[in-house]
Amino acid sequence: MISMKVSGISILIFIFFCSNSPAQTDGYFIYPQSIHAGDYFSTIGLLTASLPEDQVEEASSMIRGPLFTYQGLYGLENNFQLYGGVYTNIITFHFSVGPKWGLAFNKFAFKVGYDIAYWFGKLEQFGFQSKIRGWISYPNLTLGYDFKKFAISVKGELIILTHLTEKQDNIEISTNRNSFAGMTLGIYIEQPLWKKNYMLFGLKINYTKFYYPTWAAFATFDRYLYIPEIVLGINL
Amino acid sequence: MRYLLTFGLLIFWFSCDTNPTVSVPDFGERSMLEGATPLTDATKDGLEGIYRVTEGNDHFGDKVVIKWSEQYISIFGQKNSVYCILEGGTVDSVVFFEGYWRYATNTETGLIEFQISEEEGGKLLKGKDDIPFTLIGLYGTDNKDPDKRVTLVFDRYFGPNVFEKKFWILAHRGAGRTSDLLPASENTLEMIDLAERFGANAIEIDIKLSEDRIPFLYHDQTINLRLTQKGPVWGNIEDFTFAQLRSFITLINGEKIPSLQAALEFVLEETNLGLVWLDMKSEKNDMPEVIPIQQEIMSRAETMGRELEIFIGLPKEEKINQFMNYPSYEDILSLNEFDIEDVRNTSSEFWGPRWTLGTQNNEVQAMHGEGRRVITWTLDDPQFIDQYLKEGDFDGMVTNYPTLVAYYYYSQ
Repeated sequence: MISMKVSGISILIFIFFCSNSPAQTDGYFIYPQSIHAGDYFSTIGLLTASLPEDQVEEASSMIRGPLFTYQGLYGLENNFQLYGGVYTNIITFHFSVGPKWGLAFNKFAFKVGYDIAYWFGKLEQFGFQSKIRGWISYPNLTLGYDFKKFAISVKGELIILTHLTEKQDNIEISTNRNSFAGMTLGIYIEQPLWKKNYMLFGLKINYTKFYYPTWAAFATFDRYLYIPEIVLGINL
Repeated sequence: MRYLLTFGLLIFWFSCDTNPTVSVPDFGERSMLEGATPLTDATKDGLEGIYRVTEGNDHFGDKVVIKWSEQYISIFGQKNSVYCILEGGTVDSVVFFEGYWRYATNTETGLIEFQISEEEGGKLLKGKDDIPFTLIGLYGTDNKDPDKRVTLVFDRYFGPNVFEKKFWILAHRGAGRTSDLLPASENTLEMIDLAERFGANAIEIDIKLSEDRIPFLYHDQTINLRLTQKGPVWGNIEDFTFAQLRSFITLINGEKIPSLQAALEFVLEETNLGLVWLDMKSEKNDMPEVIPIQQEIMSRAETMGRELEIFIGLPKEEKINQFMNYPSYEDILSLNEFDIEDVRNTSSEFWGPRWTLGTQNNEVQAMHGEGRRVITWTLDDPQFIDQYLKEGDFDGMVTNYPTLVAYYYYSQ
């Protein structure tokens, strides 16, 4: 046990002394670079998923529109950052916020974070008035490498359902789940689109029992689904 | 390099299989059933009841229900909506069963087998039903040999509630949805064949009308990959003739789309199902085609001395208008999904309120007072199934998980 603690402390000391803060590239958003305190980066874009056909009651009940996204990062002292994001497809709104902390080693960088999201949705379908709201936690880790002309980042996150309340007509189903629902793994490329304007392209795999944009399907299953996503954005 | 990476990622992305499948495990050549003597009806009746799970309860829960349907013995549990479908036989007074178990809401499944000892089995075969039977068995994962122990100890027979009032467990879409990864596609003869094994005594099926006005079973308005394999036709399913549908469409599990006539004849001749809800999903007025088939099959059932009721489900105002324009509609068995006044207006024998409106006991009792019956739909949540069985006064319940409703109903 003592040797594990010593090893852990040694790693932290190594990270602290070996890390540095290379010049901030204003175009990157996902790449886990350090951000100067007080600076604000943001990205706007679309996220579209290949939704599993087998999850729905009928094909027409699947909401297939993309999610519009806006995300921001605010630089704090000591390599901390504050993240905030909004995702919506009109019937569903997902707001998330969370601290992040990262370090860079020349071209390589990593960042850890813990995002907490509140989300809700409302829809009338098949004559039902359906509403849903809940909290989801996303502990996450991002690794990135800056190739100078572009950067590649890999981001993984866990999905933990902390609360879910669902209402159909007069019936409210409330569950305090605090349950592990799955994970995601995404790979992202960020590169200049024109001049100093950067674009973001990402592919993300969700391996999860609960994918909030499909809440209106009211899936009764307790099984993991692979849901791939394409992420497109322009870093502002 | 960027392009290579992007191309590689896209290949990876599109190669992800988002639709899982579940195969039914099979003993195959390991089966002992071939040389066994089939069980008699009396023996089967002696086995029905509630059992305590004394070994394997981490997998099956603490209590299960055993129910027979023809040659199949079904076991229903609450944990993960578990169920087992087995066949049984005897060899030298040893009663044994083999089949598969499945968690209804996920993809876990496996083989399972049970034995009743020679001593207990001998008494069971002689009709002595006053001993506590113990089913000793093994279960496994997928097609692997069963190796984990499970023991069921007879606790009691079904309670008086089960025998005092007829309660309909209606299996949605024939016995379940294609999306539940069952061995058959929804709204097919193959699916209807599973209904009783899943604990249902009635079914709900969805009716469309082909371009040449033949009623058939299908749920969605379009030909899509949720229900069908990739094929040469696409678009509104009611724009095709029935011959075209039969020729060009193969359902997810390999079946062909059945006609309503074939489906009801199958129910009549091959099952003991007692009630069929025809959910009228067509965009056309299909009453002139559907009602004569309904009448013909019910008439044949009466001739056979078979209890079978088939009713026309009225889910939309448009369908109510079509129904009320049919000659002597008052004499046709129907279910109205709207409020109780609408039920009276259409002279419907059944009222079908959706479950999210609550138990509505006052309205249900009013309907009962008028000699009508009430079937609520579509309940899949264990908590509400249990609650509605205890607190409600319904005559039946539509569900995607008849095994779960059967568990709660028979274990009352």
